[in-house]
Amino acid sequence: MKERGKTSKIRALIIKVVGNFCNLRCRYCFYYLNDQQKFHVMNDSLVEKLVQEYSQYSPKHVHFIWHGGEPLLAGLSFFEKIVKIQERCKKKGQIIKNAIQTNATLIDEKWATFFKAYRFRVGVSLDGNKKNHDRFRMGIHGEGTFERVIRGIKILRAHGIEPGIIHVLTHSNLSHENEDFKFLTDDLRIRSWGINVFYDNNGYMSSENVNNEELVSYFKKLINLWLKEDNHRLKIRELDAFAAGVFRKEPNPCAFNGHCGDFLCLDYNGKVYPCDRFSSNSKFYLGDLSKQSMIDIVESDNLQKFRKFARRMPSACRQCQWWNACHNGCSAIRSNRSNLYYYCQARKKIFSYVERVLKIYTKGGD
Amino acid sequence: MSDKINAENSKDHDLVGRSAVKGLLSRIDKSKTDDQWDGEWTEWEDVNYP
Repeated sequence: MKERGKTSKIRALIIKVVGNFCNLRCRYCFYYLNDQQKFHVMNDSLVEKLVQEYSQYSPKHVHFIWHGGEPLLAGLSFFEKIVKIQERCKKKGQIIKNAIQTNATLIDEKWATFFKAYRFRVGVSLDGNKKNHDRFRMGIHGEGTFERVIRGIKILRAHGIEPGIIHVLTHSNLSHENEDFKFLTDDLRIRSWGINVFYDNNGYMSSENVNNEELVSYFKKLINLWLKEDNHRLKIRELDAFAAGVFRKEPNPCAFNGHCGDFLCLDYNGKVYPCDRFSSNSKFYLGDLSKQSMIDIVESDNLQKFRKFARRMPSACRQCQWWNACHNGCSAIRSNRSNLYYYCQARKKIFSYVERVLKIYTKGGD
Repeated sequence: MSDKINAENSKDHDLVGRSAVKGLLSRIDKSKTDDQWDGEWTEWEDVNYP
């Protein structure tokens, strides 16, 4: 096998084991109407090839992110098979890590026991309290799913697993920051929280897009709630990212750190894309793991071209003091005309606000 | 702003939010540059891929 090249660093592989297939019908989901008629699951030979080649390719730590659709639909036996293959394929001294992003509605005692035994990190999709969550996150009959998600979280906790939360911020729920913050931090005692800002650039639900002014206002309120809560264990991914940028550290999310193209997305059928957000666009197709080696895909011209596309600096960013902390945001949410990140103006204001707030707390540090 | 990011430096020890900021600074101090990255995801980086 070829050696990994300097330009081919892959930070994580996001694996859609059942493609877009899901047991929910969240109204804002970009898979809502796609690929829900037929259930697919990644076949055994592809699973074997994936684990073997990714382990061989990776450095000391190998990070698998199991995603969807709803990955638990693949079944427990599918994941039991994966951990066995991982154990067999790992190089001497290598550490395998698994993370899974789920809607939590299918979690039961068996799943929780398995996740605990194999130290899976579990991310759960939850949009705040019942009213806000059930506004969009619905089952196949249009029913709310809040109770099923909370039940799943309780089972995880009963097995000693503390899930992280992904919260989709829409126009409809952004004005409820007080009640959602209270619910997530005080009632549910969540300690790790990521906020995905809803932005539909396909035109099916653009009325739920959050605009720049709304986003600034939301984050200012969120920061003040977070300070008032004053819990050193409460991690809000975006606040950490803004703060990291202020202190010239490397922010973690790909939408901040300029590593777009280092997180590849593998679909159930072997098709590889630079990100799930580009997986419906054949222009960004990178290759097929069922037919090509992983190293050929990650060393391909297609990936280099994508990185060049995603990381190019618009003229407006050249003089921006926040370039190294922002990198023009998520490349899937940029203007076709200017190539600027849609939330450019909001980012500038939030970075400045975070800088002002943190200065109060770090004065005397010079 | 200084590279030395330490909420303990604050002169105002009654400031609400000091504990939250201290936790945040501790987490981001563990971040790695691209050259330092060895495949390990810290607790800070966690599961929450967008």
